Amino acid sequence: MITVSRSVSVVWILACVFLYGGSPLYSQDTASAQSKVVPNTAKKTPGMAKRISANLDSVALDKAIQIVAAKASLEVLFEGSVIERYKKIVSGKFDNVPVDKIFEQILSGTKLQVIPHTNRVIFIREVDSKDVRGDNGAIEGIATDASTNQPIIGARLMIEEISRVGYASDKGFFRLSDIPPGTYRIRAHAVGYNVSRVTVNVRSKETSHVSLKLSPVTTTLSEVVTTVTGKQRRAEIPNDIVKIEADKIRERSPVRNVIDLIEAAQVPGVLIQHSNGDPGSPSRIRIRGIGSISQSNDPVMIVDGVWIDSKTSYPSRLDNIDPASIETIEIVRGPSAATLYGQDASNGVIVITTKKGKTGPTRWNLSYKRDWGQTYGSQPLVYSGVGKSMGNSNFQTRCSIGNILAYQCNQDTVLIYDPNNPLVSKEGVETNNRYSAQVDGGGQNVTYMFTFSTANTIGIRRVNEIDKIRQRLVGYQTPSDFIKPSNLSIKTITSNVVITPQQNLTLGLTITGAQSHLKDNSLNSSWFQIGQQGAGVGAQYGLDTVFTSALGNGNIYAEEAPKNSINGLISGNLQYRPNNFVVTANIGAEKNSSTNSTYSRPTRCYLNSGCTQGLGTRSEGSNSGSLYTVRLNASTSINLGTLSRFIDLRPSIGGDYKRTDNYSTSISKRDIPVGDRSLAGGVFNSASNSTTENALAGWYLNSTIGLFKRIYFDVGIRQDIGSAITSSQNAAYPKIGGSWLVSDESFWRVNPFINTLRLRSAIGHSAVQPDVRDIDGRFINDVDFIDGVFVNTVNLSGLGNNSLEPERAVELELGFDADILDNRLNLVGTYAHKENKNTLVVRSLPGSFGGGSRKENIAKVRNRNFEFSANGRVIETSTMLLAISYTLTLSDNKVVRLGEGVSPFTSQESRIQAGYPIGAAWGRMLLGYDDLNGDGMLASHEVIISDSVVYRGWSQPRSRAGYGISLTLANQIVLDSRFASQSKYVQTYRNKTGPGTEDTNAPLSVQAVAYTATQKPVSDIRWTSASITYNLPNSLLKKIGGRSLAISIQGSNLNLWTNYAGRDPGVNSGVGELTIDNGYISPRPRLYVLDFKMGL
Amino acid sequence: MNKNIRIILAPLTALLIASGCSLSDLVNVDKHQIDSDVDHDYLDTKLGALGLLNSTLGGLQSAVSLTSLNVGVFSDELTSRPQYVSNNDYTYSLGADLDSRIEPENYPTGKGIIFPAYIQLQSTRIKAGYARYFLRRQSDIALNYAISAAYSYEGYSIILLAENLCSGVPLSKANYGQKVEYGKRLSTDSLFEIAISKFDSALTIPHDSIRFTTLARIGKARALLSLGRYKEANEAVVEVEQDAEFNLTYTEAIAPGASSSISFDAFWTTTETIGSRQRQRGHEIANNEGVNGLRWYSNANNVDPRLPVTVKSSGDSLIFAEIVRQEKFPNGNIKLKLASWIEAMLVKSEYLLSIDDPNWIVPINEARRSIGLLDIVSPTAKKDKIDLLFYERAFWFYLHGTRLSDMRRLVRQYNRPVNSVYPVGEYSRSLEIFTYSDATVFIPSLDEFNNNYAYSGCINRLP
Repeated sequence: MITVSRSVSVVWILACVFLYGGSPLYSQDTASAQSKVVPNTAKKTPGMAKRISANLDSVALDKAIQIVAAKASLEVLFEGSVIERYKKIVSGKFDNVPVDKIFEQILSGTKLQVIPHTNRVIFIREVDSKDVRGDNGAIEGIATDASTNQPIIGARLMIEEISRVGYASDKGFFRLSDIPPGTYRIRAHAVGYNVSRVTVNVRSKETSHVSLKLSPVTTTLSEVVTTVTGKQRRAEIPNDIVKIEADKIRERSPVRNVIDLIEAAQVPGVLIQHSNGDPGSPSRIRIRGIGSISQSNDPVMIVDGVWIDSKTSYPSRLDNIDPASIETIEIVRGPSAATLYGQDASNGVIVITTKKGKTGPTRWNLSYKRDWGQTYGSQPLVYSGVGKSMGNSNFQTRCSIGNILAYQCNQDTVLIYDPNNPLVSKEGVETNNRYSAQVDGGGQNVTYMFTFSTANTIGIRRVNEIDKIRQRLVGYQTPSDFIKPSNLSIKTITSNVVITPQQNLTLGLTITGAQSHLKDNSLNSSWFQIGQQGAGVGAQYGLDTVFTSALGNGNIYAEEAPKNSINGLISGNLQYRPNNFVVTANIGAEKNSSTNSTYSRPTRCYLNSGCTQGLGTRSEGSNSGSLYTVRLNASTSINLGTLSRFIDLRPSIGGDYKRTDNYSTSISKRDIPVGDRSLAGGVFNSASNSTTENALAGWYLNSTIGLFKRIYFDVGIRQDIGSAITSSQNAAYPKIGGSWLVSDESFWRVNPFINTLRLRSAIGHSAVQPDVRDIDGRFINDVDFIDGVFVNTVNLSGLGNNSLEPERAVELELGFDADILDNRLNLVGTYAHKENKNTLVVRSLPGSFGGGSRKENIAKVRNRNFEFSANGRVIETSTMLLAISYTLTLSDNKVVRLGEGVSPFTSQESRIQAGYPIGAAWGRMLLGYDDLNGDGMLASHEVIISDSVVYRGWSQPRSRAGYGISLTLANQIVLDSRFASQSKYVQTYRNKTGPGTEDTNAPLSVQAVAYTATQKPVSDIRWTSASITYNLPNSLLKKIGGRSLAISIQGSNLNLWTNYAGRDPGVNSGVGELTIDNGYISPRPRLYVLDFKMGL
Repeated sequence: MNKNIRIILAPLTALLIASGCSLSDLVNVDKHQIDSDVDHDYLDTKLGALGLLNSTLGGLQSAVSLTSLNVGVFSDELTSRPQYVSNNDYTYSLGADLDSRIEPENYPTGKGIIFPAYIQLQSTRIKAGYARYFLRRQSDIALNYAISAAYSYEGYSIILLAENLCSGVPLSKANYGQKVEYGKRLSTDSLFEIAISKFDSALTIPHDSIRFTTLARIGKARALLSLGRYKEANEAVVEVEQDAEFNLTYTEAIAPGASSSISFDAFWTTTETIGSRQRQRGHEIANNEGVNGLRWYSNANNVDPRLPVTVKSSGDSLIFAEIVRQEKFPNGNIKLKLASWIEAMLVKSEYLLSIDDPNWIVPINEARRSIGLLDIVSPTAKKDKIDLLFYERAFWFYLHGTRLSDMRRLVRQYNRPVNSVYPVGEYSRSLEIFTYSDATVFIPSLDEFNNNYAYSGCINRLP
């Protein structure tokens, strides 16, 4: 039985090497060398000649070695089990004695020998190896990275002539024993490195030594990524976890926030949808499609080990994380990889790691960025139908599609409205200024990093001229602040301190804070309102000819809606490494606080609308939230004795706890007199408050099992309890996966076409939990008139469902990673099949329950994704690098089952129906039209529209691709350009009606569109970014005293080629999944950016 | 245990201990924190349980009001009045389709013709069960009357469902903390039997509230009458004393702290809401509706004192110059006698009539005398006696939600042809002229058909 205690001794080296700065091939008469505890070569090591004082009083040999090593500032590596075998107790007092002499004394009587490696690293090994029989010899060596001289763990060694295989240990060492004398070729290979070969001569009863230096190549498999259980080599993980290095993205693309970072990285399987082109607008992140119908599809977000609030908010929470403070963003895309992250992880996980300081003198990084932006293209003309009411021939009204189909409107006029008219245009020039200062440094035991940035963005949105006129007419002067309503200013700080009090203990502390202020203004009058205003402003300025007379007075709002938010995050991280254990702990808290206020002055009040004409209404709300995280993980490697040559076993155990508290209040007062906009001046209207608490706890077991250093299995299970998970439910989630480095197999012939090939597969479960209030019935305070008096009662508001389970997503992921064409091209392909088997649906309860609704686990949703990426170095010389990249995502989403007896969920344009994608677009079809009477106008009887709604297409793109090309010249000039395309989805453009002039020349095709919903299949190609960056050469930098200086001109959203009727198919104002452009929201502007970065 | 294992397990153990030795404590949160929410712990108090019972009674009031209105329009008590409510079309407050007994499933709003009433009846039934659960948990005999009341409220809701809807109404089950059970269709007789069992439970629980005992006795008798068990019905009410009654109370006053009045949108409200418009209440008293309808008055000066009427100008009606309003419920501040000695007398009379007792008219006259009406003489013919009995019931219980049930009983238990009981012929209160449909009962709201997968529709739609 393999015990853990035994494994403790296996951390250290399995073999030693005798080589110090020598040639790649080194062989010597080991018999003579072995005769001395400290050979001459070792004595030459500076550290060994150092004189130290030490008092050893009956200490174990291993302890004695460590004491001496510490005093000599040497790193000593040895195999614990070998040292323990001698059971030697050492005593002695040494006063200013050379280290080599001390070692000679304390190692005397053993077969141990000191072997030098570098000036600061020595090895202690046993002289005689017992794994050599007869006349045979052995080969020992170390495999190191040729560029960094760091050991390469797991490097595969093969004696080609006799097909003997060995692997480098944790320290990069290897030993191939019992080798018949002769000359052999040893081939070394490791993921991420070129194959290296050396020739070695093995003599009888001797150990030959060899140093193998491997050159790194471009591959992602050797990369280390963050998992729940710690950092792991990508090659060992059966999933494709994408790692975004923030600075690399920032070098080539204009980046203001985390969303920009992720979008610019063009990660396959990740869809970013912007709710708006205004600064601070939240964005929607969808990873591998939509799995939930009633629950959130947002991914989990983790910063430095602690959860942060990922709810969509405005301003966006993700705007408050300074991109300059981010080291990496890792995207865990599916349940098979996210199982151990617990509830809600089935939508994927975004792991953000902030930058940490580096040892060395203080370094400053200063940057300034200035943007200018404008929208491209003109707004489409708006056509709307107007006609006579069937019930009242004197009444002129808009002919909506509903009215026409109900035979309530006979269209006789088409109005044309030009939103580009300077009076009504709501768009101007966007500007952004961003300053950032970063300082880092530190010593052996403490490092620090501090980042401060401030940014101010004035969006493209403006209060248009006609609105200003309208406001003045009603006696309201728009505050100058609100003339440019989409003005967002953000200040952020991020600080990190990492303390290493002892070699095996690291403590980290991250504190971030952000403050934002958004001068929003909802004075965003619809064209309809312009037409309705009673003062005839529209008519006065030639904007309306029909609607003023048709619909009379309407509301005129003058509204301000400033928003302020403050949030902070504190994250404490501990890593303790006793022997071969790694224990990590994260404790953190995120606090968010925001306030918002709106003020409006309606000029007309409708019945029961709670307002008085001409008087103001102010509403103020606040929201504060806290999110607390505690996470623990312990991982180790288990020594399986001789089996360790073939099997690596790295189990982990961990648990976490997360608690969310949210508190919100709102109060509204009305009838605020003119001239006073304060809350105090009004009459009480309404107030409410709510508190929401949610807590989750879970634990997991996980193990990576490596076989022959080329096959890895990852097995784990997680169990959760939570506020919204009833105790009767089995909230346990398993996962299993495998990764096979095929190209490391002996049968794999090394060829220049495919250099590395890995196949991987994983299956895992994850979940999305119900909401806390979904479980129990809900009772509310009420008032009833009982027996002649009003009494407070308790009313049953919702039955709840105490049988609810979390939505369980099961995902199968299959994929490959390959380096081909002499490692010039890296390919990654992944297919993911995910099923949410018991998707929660808000089910309407029949009347026999007293009505209402509740959630039930009755639906099933399937997502299939194929993700592919290719990164290649087309030309690579000492002075030029031409790199290309391509990413592709193919998505397939389907509601397999909605639940027995559940009717499709429908909204105006989208629908959730079994057999179709979630939120798919549905609408009536325009079947034909004919101007029968030849009057140039299409009446309703001249248009044929389908009687019922039909499926129009996907709510989200079915295929997306990203393209990138980058040219680096002389390591100083970098040109980069990116494109993105998406297709096969339906974009709805709500053609807002407005005041217009009658257009008797409007083409029939245009008139006909007014009869139907404006849903169209869309394809688009966007020139997402381009940049040219100049890095000053070192010679110039020395003259100006800088460390680095880069000047970059960047552009984003540079052009769009699309068949979309509106302006920007990349914005989505809809609350559902269907992409809707409501005609009011700002498109994303085209930006030009000047970027300076300087390192001191 | 290895030292290093202990190192790792120690913080995990500490975490568990810190959590109070219970993992579930770690995730225990307050789940009902919107300011209008009531914590479940409060329900488990006397005040909370009674609050839930009062809400049940409020629901019953709303249910009775809505049912009475629907029954009134569907039967011969009320008639709908056309209203000008949109720019494009005329529509009706409770449409001509209901008034003319158009097939309910074709109701244009898509939720069923008596959707609000149906929801309220079922909701009252469910809430009564919840209230009983929490009342019982108090283990306080002083609350026996309340438990009894909860049974009666539930029983009464079931009676109204059985009386007015087709055979095949489901009673879905929802009990606190338990899984819900989608209801299958139950026959009308089954519903009455269930209602009787609820009233029996109410009567079994010892308490001294005459008010609630009266409700249970009358309710039980009413169910027994519908089952044709006249003798048992009479036995059920034999102990109902003359001053015993159970009232529902209504008001249009605005509750303290509320922004608008509690609206049951019923026959007594002074205003009705149609879309975004409000107008004066507009249901007219029907008079001899569809040939068979009762003649509630001869003219404004010749009315039964149990049903006063007034003639008013039409207001915003574009079609009819004047309307006749019932004044039994002239405004919102009224009482509706849901159970009373009057009904007990009428039950007794019907029982005596069923056994051809010549004194069958005595209880009727006792009831009449209680409000100063003159005695009436029993007709000779059995048919006329039955007519007289139901005439008396109709006037006593005008707009109590009993009229449709009585019409059904005339067909079912007294073998009257449908077309001699329900309004028939040409319906003329619309812009269009059409005829009364042959529908005689309501059906459950359409969401029952759409959302209850255990439900297979009406067993029959017989009167």
